[in-house]
Amino acid sequence: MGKFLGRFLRILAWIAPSYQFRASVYRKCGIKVGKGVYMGFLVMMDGEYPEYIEIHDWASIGPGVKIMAHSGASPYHQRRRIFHEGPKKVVIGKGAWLAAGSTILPGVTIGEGAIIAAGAVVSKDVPPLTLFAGNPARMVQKLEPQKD
Amino acid sequence: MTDFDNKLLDILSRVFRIDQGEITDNLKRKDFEPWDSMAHLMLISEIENEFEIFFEDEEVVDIWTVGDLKKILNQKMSP
Repeated sequence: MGKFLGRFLRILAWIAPSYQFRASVYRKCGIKVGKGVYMGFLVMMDGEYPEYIEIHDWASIGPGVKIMAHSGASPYHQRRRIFHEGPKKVVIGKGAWLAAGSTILPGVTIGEGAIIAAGAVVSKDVPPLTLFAGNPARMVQKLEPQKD
Repeated sequence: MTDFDNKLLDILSRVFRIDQGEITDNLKRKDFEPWDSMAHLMLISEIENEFEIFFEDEEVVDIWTVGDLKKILNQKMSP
């Protein structure tokens, strides 16, 4: 289902109970959402270019996360050619965790198993298994899986 | 105690909210609770602003003790 229906479905995807349902509504909006993805409340995803967003399996999207795939600027800027950028692909890697209120900007790829701290604004690619925080987001720590 | 050391101690005590006397070179990020990832980020940006330098990602990740921090700062500040 395409963009048109997506515009209405998105409201449902914000506030629907149960995360599986919210994830599947986003799937209907045209966003690629893998299996087992946790989708928090009030997750805002780019409505104009849903096909540019890809969320891989077992990722966890916290409440209030914003994922943008384009930066359109106002008609004023577009007309005067001050600023206009088309859509760029956003990829959330397998098992990545975007904590509450983080913002992902266009063209960013989040690596497998990476953590984005709450409220971070991510403007560049995030390597796998790292912790990024702040605005603009920076690498704070490398994550090491515990061995038994 | 140089001006540089004083500035660094001031930043550390402000970020971690502890007395300057409690800060030693052996203070470790892993077993010192106030030094969490957010405090680490604040520390890095405070130091960058104060000393007008820039840490690369690898350097930020490799700072585990106050001693490490001083070592990296010395490398960066010496021309």
